[in-house]
Amino acid sequence: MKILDNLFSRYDQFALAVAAVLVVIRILRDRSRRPR
Amino acid sequence: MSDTTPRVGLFARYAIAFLRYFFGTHALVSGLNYFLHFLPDRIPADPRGHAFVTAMIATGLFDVIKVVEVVVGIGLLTGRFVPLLLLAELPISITICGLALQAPTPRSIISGPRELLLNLLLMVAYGQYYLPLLRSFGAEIGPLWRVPPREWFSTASRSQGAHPVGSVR
Repeated sequence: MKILDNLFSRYDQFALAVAAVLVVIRILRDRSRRPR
Repeated sequence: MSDTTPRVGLFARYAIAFLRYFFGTHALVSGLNYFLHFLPDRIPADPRGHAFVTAMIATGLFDVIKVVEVVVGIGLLTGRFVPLLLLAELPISITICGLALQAPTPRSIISGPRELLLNLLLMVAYGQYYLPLLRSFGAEIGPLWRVPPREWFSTASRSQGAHPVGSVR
């Protein structure tokens, strides 16, 4: 975690988390829209 | 996009989306934090960088940059005007990278170039939007005020490369 803290600021960690959540939401949304 | 536009694979599509969300959130948080101060401010410790940023703050130019960052963040997160906003963010990314490399720390030596690389990578991902800018229109194309606003985004004028108004009217 120390290495992670050195490489990624709070901004970065927050942005990574938000990006990951938004991509998961987008994947789930795309999957639900895809015709079966 | 036309039928000749290459299809983007699923992985690439979500990878680009991830980078866009990351870059957008980063810009939005950075911009909002300047006005709302919910995270510690990041003024460079290096004397030259510090002088540069404090001069920008004193002249009010930093306010403009932070407003641009907020707009860029909102646009990238919502997927609106992405190519234009990436272009608007590019000078800011170059400055951030330059300042970070003035007196590199273990973090800034990564975060500075990463900012610029992410900006450029996303511009390449959206590169087809910029290709018309690389054509040499020369004197063929007329000024925008000669084109009726309803025709600005017409498919016909885009596929021809130059707007028909240029050579005729």
